[in-house]
Amino acid sequence: MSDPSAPPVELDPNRRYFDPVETLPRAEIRALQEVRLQSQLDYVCARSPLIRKVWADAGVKREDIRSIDDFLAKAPFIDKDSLRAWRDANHDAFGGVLCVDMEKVDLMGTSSGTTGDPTFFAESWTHPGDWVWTPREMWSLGLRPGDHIAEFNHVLRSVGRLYFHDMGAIPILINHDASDLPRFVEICRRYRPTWLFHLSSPLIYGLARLEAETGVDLKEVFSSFTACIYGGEPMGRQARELVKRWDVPIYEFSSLGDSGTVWECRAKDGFHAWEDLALMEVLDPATLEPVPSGGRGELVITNLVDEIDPLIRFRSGDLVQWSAETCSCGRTHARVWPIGRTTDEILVRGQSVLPRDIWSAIEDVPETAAGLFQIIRPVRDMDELKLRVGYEGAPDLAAVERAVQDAVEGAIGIRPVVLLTPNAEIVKLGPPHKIPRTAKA
Amino acid sequence: MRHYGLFGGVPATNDPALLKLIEGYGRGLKKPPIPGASDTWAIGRVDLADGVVVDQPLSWADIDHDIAFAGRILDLMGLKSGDLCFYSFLYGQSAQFWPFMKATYDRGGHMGSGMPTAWDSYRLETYLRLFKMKLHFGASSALLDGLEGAGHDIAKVFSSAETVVAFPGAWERLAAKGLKPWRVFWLGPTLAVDLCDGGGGRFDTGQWTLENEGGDILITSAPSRLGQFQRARTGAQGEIRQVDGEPRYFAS
Repeated sequence: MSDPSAPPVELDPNRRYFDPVETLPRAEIRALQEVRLQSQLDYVCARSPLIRKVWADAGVKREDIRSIDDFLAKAPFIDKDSLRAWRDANHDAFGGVLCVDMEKVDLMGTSSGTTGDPTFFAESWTHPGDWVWTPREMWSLGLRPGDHIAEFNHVLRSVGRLYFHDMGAIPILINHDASDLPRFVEICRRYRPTWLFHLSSPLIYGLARLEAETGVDLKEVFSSFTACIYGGEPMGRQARELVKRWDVPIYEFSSLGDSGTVWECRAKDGFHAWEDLALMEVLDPATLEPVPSGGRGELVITNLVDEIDPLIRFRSGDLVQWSAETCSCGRTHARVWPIGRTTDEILVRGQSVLPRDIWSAIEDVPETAAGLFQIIRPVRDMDELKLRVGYEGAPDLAAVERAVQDAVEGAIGIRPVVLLTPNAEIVKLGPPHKIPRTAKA
Repeated sequence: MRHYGLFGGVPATNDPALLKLIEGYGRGLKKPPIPGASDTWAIGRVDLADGVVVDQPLSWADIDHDIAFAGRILDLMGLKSGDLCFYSFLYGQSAQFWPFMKATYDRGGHMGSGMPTAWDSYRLETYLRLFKMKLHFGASSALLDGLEGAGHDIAKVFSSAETVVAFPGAWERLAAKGLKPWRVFWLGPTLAVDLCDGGGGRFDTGQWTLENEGGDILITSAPSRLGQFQRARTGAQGEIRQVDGEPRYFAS
């Protein structure tokens, strides 16, 4: 309980932005980054065994870095492979980036682990710089103390509910599983929640089935919400059309290179990256040269405030477009538009194929319109494109297979091998909140 | 103190009054100090007999009671600072599992968590392979199915866990492998934990009253609780006996 003797907090409940830092001029953001980067490097270079080794191998000393420009010119990169190699060689689950004694680690969370052993994240519930989400996006999308949140969540990465408690809101605890959707419908009618966290492709598929089977009026179900958050993977065209038909006020979030998250605002014109908390670079993945605002490249992140397991110059493998232009919402921090992951890319006889390249083609076939599919990718370079594709009902499978092959070939010029699987089975092949778009087998 | 506006519902500030309010505040671990914050902790899910699902609103005071009970169970197993506990549950079961996690935190323990499903069994296996574990709480048949389906010997997998607390179905399979798990039972809105010492399943007698009606276990909540249950059929079968001066649940 709050301390009754404490003075009342003076916070304007009608303020537009949660935090003034959201609209700082970019020069002031840069100045803040300069200070925080120096402090963070002092801290991390003294504590992170991985960073010490990588920097020593590169011949870079802490004292060589006196500015952001020095950092961008000299600091070596790390990536998931660096962390995995350190983990395996040193029996260190945190990949050599843990900077505190274990006594300061409250939760050892993990990535969903769709591509191998899960990645471990150390989390402190009291460290002021530890974050996955921030209150800024919640405030901007209308979450206020006392609001009810329909919270479809899972228990893998973090205890997300704690962020909602921080906002003084009331989480309604719902399994992230289509089997809990009938309860969700009742909850919406009973509590009229204003926020939903979070929808995913399996849940949207489940809602479409619920609508078809019961005739439930999903427009009415979603009518109380000011924001319904979508995440886990990019949203396909079919899902977009469904949530539009149901009048869902949808906003997406995505990862900021395993150092936090980026969220859409009401302008729905890109995902905001908080540059006071993380130094963001977008680099050409082939040349590692910086990509100017408006261009596309790989997201590289340095966490400026996390002192638990900060990543320094981490190549995320996430391909994004980015902009340094001020958003129409008034925020000055950079925006990104996720494109895909380098780890999802397959080369078929030298031609690049990403899940997004074939997504709409698969959704064009009525029996596979839910867009539940995987690229089977035992290795990156393949002679053929092999797909596992989910279907609905009891169709003529040979005809569906041909239709999917025709559609994909029409989209990218490659005729795939198609393995058809019932939708109800394909959603079991991954975590509850997403379909792993690539699979080794 | 540094504050980046990342917790407490308070933006980044140098205002000493605001900083004082969030001094020592852990993210979401207690009611936040901001105006309008709800007295309701959350609304949980309760599965009762015959497939009936109802809501369980909990106040911050309710969850504090539940954390205190969970702490007494963890103390019985000798949990101490630095110990690792892994909790297997679905998100809708957070009202029943969070008290154990928070009590672990209060004792200086570390936590991991995953789902009690076959698909997620590899996560539990990873933790058990990489760490020495004081407690795995929530072993289920589906988890064991997943482990065995992936070719694991469950006796070997669980050998690094000092205490395993298993639901019926999983408990028998682990015991058959020579392990000595504790048992945990769903009693509608709460859990009973059986140390398998002959003393039956311990539940929070200050918050819940259990009755046996023809072998069906009925539950009634304390009047102070936000979510009220009056002789609700839990779906559990068994009887209630007095042990060491308090009622305990014995499954049939």
